[in-house]
Amino acid sequence: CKSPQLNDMCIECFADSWGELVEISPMISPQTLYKIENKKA
Amino acid sequence: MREIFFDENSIDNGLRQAYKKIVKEGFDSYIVLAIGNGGEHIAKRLEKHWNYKDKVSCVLKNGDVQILDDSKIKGNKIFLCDDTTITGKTFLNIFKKLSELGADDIKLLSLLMRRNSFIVPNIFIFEIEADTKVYFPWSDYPIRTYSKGIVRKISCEDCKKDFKCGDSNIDKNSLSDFFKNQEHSLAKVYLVEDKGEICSIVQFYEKPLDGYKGLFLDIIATAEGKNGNNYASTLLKLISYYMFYHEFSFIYGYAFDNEGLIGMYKKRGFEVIGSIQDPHYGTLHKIVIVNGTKDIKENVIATIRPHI
Repeated sequence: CKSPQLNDMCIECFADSWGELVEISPMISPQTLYKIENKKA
Repeated sequence: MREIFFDENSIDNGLRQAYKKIVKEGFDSYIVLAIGNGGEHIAKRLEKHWNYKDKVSCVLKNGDVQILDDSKIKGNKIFLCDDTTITGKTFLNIFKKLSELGADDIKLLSLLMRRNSFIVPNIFIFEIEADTKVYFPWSDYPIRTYSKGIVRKISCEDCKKDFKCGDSNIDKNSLSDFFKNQEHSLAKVYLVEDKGEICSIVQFYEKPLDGYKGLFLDIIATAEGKNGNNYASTLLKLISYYMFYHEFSFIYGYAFDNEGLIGMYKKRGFEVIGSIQDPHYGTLHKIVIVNGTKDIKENVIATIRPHI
């Protein structure tokens, strides 16, 4: 691990590095955004 | 997905019986070539039954075949040993290399062969279905650790609770919506609960696309005030392991438009394979990470790009 594998890292390190980005900005799909918008019926 | 665990006893019994076939077929005068770590383990255990005249090691690194002490190959008959034949493609590279080095004859023994393998070993002991994961005593066992809080599925009782992440769009999606999706839409919804509070939540779906199995990460968010505690990382670990141990080829999702953020996703191995413009929410970028231990990244992306 440069820090199963992703991006040359073990899963623990990969998930930590991905988690940093999710804390900057959460992830949501456009499909769910549209559903929420339509509900807001 | 099925899992098979081999113990030392079943391997020893298999190799003892296989050795009788090795003698019967006249392969016992061959030089043993152990392929990778698995092959070394097989060769070592074969030694208990077979006093082979010599052994050569073969290391596989990033698809390259390196035969240590290749001076022993020329003019000799070579007996390859490995623990598993999955597609057999690796063996083709090794056969080619051995032929170039002047091997007189090449035979292959594999403890097990996955059904539909391109290569059928000269001797193999067990045959397994395509979706079977195999563990030997020398394998890395699939140990997973989730040390933050309690990781669990969403339950009916959670519908009474509150979850706010600070993003006005996601916060319109109540815990009842998550629960309904789990119960009626095949969504996988997991959360981290710590000290009685829901600290992070993820919702994802299994999604087959054109011959590949993928995971669609719909929502992941951390509760307000809970950042910096690795709660989201815990759930991302869960979905990443889910991809590996259930043999999925990729995970995809959407990230909000933010030049710095998208750059950081690329740095972490994600591919941006498209964008969606929305008058309410701005631009959302489709991002994908591919399970490189299972598939070739470029092939997966070329196949799924038109569909997602």
